[in-house]
Amino acid sequence: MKAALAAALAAAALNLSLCPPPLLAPGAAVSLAGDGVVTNAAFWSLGMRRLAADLAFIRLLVYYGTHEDDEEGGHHGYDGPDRKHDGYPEVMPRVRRIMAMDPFWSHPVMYGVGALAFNLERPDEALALLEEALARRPGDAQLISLVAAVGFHRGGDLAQAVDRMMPAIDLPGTPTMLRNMAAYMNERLGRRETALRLYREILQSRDSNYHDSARRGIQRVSVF
Amino acid sequence: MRNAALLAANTWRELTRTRFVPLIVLFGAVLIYLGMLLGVLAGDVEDRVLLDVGMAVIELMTCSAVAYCAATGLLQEMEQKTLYLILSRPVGRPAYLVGRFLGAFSAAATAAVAMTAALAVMLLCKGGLEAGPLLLSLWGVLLKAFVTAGAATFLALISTSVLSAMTMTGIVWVLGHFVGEIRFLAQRTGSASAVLLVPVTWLLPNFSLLNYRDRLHAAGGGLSEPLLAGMLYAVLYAAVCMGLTSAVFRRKEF
Repeated sequence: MKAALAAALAAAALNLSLCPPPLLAPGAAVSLAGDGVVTNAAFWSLGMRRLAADLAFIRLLVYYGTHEDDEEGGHHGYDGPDRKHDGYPEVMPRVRRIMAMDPFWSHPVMYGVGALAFNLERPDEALALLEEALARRPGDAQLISLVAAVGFHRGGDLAQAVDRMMPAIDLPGTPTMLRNMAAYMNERLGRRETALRLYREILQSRDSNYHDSARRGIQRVSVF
Repeated sequence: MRNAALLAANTWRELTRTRFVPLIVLFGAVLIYLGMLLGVLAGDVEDRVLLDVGMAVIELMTCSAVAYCAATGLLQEMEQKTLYLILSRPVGRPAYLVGRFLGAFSAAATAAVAMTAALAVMLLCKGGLEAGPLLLSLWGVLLKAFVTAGAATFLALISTSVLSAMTMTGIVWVLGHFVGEIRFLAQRTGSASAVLLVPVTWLLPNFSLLNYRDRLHAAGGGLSEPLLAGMLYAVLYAAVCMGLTSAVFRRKEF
């Protein structure tokens, strides 16, 4: 009995002294509201936050991929800084929820930023997302590059935006959607070598949704 | 100690020869394979989704298996009176309990390793196998299963049926993942009833300490965590459970 008591005290001491790394920035709030709230709460209670974040990201892909005025997959590409979109109001809240569940996963943030800043032309929302993500992961090179790129893009300077974006694009783990936009922007700027390289990289990627557009891009670039 | 080892080996053999553990492995492998459907939807992050779905399935199956094995073994032997055959020999009650506990855990661990091997093969075929995160996740699952086995053995002895023992183990398992949140809420609200909850968190197993697979890429998480301290915590917690079980078991009249 004495041994069990000693073990209990030692276990309690370890329980109190060991702290898992915090998953939230100080003062950050968590919201599970919105689409998939029951699933998220269920996974949370089973200690499966990463899996909950994965499922929320898949739902985001489905939402952004099949919703509203989808014509020839137009919203996946780059439409230029003059075209305004009011659609997909749920992109930002969804990315926020994913961030709350797995704050160290930058892929959904980059995906959301790519969609909001370069396609839906809502750079303020993209910058707000980046600010929140950088509060959790200060010094993240990919996110810092994207902040600069979104800033220049908002100012209408496409060349500077692409220059700032490229370091983020060349790092592993960048969403193919963002790579596709960077390829198209490079193509528009006449940087055919870079565009061709990026289109070829897209063809090697896991996300087959962009393979057709990459093939078309290669054809366009190769014609000149 | 020798008696405990013999009983553990016998329990492991018994559980792996029955259909239960092979069925757990088969069912788990099928669920892991079905995770490929989600992986297809995930595009760029297919490997991550496969790993997360796979390890979640493995953890659920392993912890359910260990809770079932720990709860049924003891209660069935008491009901069928086969326990007398063992205790009438020179086998101490603590040795019997430790043997049963270790046997149930090792059978569940065998199932977990087999399912992880299936997941590793699938990830290898997809070209996304990373040994570090996979092994670290398995390590966390095994430690959780060790703690769960201890808690389930104790709860089986103080409950009246397998169902109630497993239900209580399930509740403890879920609450164990909320220890941090319960403490946070008690601290934030500051009310007397909330403060009273704090000692409860000392009694519950703190599974968030062992939940390595949820922090694989977190700053300070993954392989940079104090892994041996986590193991020490799991062993001590299970030892406390077994000590309590032994104290209750000693007072039982057969």
